[in-house]
Amino acid sequence: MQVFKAFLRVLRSKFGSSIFYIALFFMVGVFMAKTDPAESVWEKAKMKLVVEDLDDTAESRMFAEFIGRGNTVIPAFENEDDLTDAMYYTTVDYAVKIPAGFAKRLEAGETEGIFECRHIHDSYAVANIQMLLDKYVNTVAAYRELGKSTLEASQAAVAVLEDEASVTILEKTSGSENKYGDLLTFFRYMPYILLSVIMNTLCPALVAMNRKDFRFRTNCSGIRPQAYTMQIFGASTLYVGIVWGTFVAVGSVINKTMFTGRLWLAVANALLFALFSAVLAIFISEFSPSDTIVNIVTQVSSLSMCFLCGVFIDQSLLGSGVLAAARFLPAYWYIRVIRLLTGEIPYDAAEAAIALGIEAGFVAVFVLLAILVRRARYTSAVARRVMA
Amino acid sequence: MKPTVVKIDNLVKRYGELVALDHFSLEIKEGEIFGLLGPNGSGKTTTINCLLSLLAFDKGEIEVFGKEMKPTSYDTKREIGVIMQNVAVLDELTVRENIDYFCGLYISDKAKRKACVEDAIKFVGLEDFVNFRPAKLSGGLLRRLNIACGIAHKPKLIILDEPTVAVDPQSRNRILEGIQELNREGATVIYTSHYMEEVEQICTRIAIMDKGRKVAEGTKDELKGMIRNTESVSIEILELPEEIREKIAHLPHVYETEYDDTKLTVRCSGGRHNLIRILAVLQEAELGFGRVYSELPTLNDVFLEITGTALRDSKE
Amino acid sequence: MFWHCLKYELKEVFRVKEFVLWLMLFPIVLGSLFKVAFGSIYSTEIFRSIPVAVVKTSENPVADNLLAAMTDGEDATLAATITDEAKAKELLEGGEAEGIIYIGESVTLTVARKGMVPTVLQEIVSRCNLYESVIRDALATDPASVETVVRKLSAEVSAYREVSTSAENPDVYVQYFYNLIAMVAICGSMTGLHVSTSNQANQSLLGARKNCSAAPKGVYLVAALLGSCIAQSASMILCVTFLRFVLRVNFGGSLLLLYLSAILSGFLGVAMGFFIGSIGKMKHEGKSVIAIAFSMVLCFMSGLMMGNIKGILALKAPWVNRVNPVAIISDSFYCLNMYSDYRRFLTKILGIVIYIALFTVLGVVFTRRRKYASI
Repeated sequence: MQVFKAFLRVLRSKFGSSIFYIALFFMVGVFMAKTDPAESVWEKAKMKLVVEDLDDTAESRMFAEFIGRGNTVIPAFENEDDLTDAMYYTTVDYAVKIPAGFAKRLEAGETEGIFECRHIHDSYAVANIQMLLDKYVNTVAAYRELGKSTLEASQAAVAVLEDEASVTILEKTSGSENKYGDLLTFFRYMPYILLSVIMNTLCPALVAMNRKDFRFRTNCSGIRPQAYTMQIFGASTLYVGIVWGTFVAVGSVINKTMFTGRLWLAVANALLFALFSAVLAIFISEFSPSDTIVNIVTQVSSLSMCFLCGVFIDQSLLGSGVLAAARFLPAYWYIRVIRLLTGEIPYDAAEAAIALGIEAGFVAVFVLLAILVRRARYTSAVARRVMA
Repeated sequence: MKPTVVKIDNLVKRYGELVALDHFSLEIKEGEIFGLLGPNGSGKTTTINCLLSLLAFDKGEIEVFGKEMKPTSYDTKREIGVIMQNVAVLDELTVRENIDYFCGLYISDKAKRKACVEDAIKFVGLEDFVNFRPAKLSGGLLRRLNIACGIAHKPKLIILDEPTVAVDPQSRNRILEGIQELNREGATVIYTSHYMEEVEQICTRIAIMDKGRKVAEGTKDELKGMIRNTESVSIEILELPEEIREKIAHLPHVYETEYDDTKLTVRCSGGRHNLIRILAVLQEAELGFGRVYSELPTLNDVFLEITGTALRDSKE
Repeated sequence: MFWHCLKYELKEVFRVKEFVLWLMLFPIVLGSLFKVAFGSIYSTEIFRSIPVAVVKTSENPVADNLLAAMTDGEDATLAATITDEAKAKELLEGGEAEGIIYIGESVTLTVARKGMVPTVLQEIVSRCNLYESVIRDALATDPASVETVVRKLSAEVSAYREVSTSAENPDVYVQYFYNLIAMVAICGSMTGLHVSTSNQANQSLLGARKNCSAAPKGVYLVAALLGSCIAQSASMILCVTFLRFVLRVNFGGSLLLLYLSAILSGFLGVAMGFFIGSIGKMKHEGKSVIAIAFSMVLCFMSGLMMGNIKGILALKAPWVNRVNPVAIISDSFYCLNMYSDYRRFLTKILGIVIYIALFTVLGVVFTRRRKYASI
């Protein structure tokens, strides 16, 4: 077990930098443990609004309350620039200022330029709120025609505006009920952390063990090559298992969710991806790169896979060309399983099995590639020695 | 009387509890090849690092060319060439660029530097490798590059810290000859090594170090003169009765015998014809023996006698 | 001597393959990737006519009028296809329609998913209910006024006055490119790290050799720092040029200031690396792994991996954005785009300069040592 123990020690010495990634991931995990579950019952999309009431009359307060209902009202910012930033980063969709004299202008029957508004993105949320503002003013004006006071007209307008049309979600596309939103969000980001932690540690450790002098010295010792390989394999498996198990367990604890039913698919999914990360690390280590090169390869492969396959950006936002290319990467299938589980696409056991199968296929392909590279490199090394 | 180039006075350097240099003093005169001999861990490199003002020390004084050595003694440093124990070159630069770079840290004048670089390349015999990157050089060539980087600026004092570790015999000879040549051209050389043959071969004066202390200093003959041993006689003999060994031990001038079932070693102090007397005892007892050889004392004998352990046996 | 050291510093840096890979090729790869991934997302988030399928089961003049108003003109809110139920469902399932509006005695909506677009549709459909309710109230109160009420209700108004913002390119996905430039800048820590480790006697053999030489430490240290800054500037210029002119990313604002800000940010990266390299006795490889991981954490906090993190932090922990050097760098590009006056941009630039000064001074304090306790 000397090789096994030595390899674990090497792994431990290479683990330092991964602590950054892990700490960050857990932090974000706790931070992000909140998502909108996709349920089959209709629910309006919330808009993020800043409402500033400078009029402070019964009418203005009524309007502010109406517009805030069902939406997320964000407290007004101290300066304009912060508001601009918030709108740019879409933490605020729209800012509505109710200027002083609002009630009076309503009373006078004015309808133009009653509110002072700001927005940056011409988004659907903005179009929605703008329609709502027009509708509110029109409705109040209509009720004023019926002889109501401004306050009464406002009350009546709020009452009728809150009576919304009923909406149903088409059964076929309603998807499965998602009870595990938070935990699945945690799982969604896991490919990045698995790739980073496993590749950044396993790869340099394997390179260290594969170093020519070290390998030759080991070859000269009494240990059989098979036993050597098996011990390295065992230690790697143990490491990958610990990493995977830790993330799965921590995910469960952070989100206070136990694994039941289909959630086990997410666990299996993560295991397959952890294995993929490990075989990718093995494959790269066959080229004996320096620690810095490992770092670069890790960043390039993890970032590109996560951006193209919908880990960081939702797959529904990515273009069809990008997604077509992403199919050739395992993270795409990983995310597909997550989407099946969240109900973003209707759950289908066969589809989930296919996605998991393809991930397993990637693992197998990279195992074969690693073996091929190893054979090619060692055979050529032997040939060079013979020729020399 | 030649002027003093290096003067180290009562140098003490501690690493926590460990005393690396224990009141170590030294004086090196111009034109010498001064050998610092000692086993690994005896304090040779620490001495060099203190001398070069890289290491802070606890006590003592160091003067080079008559001036106190400080990290900012740039004029003094300009006259010193350093060849480190490990190869210290830039992997990204070629052989010529490396030499030029390090030479440029001493000589600003371009034309002068160019000539120096060419001389250094010729001196170490790297003419065919000037455009090679260090990674493409063999161990021996790399050592030569390391040396060229240290001596290109034609320093008056050259410090070589174990420059022949892990070097093939051919390169080693070339390096040793080169050092002697530099010395003939006027450079004072400080040479540290744990290979006593090298030190014996090239050094004009030697200090032997052990556990941070100087245990002996002098020319090789002076050092050998410090010990009793003047001759060691070795005889390959498979059977040696105890009474015969006793008889040999009581011969005149013999002060020590050693027998390990195959070889008898007899150490003598002074006297002539010691070998003939020993062989006569063996012939008289009608004992058969194999190869016989007589050796003059080596620095290992000096070290052995002074410290009680052989240089080569000393633990790192 | 200074120029000699500078010349070789530059020669060395540009021949380090990690430098070329990490600071020159990696941004090009990642930038291209971003372009592919985000190039057209923003345009899909901008409001356009919403395609809907309309299924009429009985006459409803209010709904018909409303539908006509909503589908009228070039910038119509809806793009309606009037069809039967089966076809409508097909359109909805196929994603060609965002919803099915059933017009009967009452008006209902069926959608395929939740989200903002279906919410807009609900808002539109609710208007029919609104008209009916208001007309009902009018009939009950004053039947003669129904016509005026309906006219008031359907009047074309602009109830809001928009205060304009000076954003030149509001595309929120451009911030990924801001962060990419910031990442290249902060990864300049790799070159800065090299400056401190290769010049300290207790960190590398080269450092020991240089310390023994006749060149004053200040000279080769400043030459190395300057060399790294030049190399880093080259990679910053390459990165910005590639993004702006090859990928045609519209950064908005003055291009000259963008380059200036990028170059200055590169200096910040170098200074940070110089500082990291100067502390502790860990060898170069170990420190470089730490520097990269630390840089990546800063990049993450600035939104390189998740664009909305900066906005969330601005609400929940605004100080993080104020102290995170990567966020400050990416904000400087953002300010150029968003604000026509340079007040905020200059604040960010000041922040960058303060960081450069801080890291450099600290780095010098730690590396100025000329003798070491152990090597």
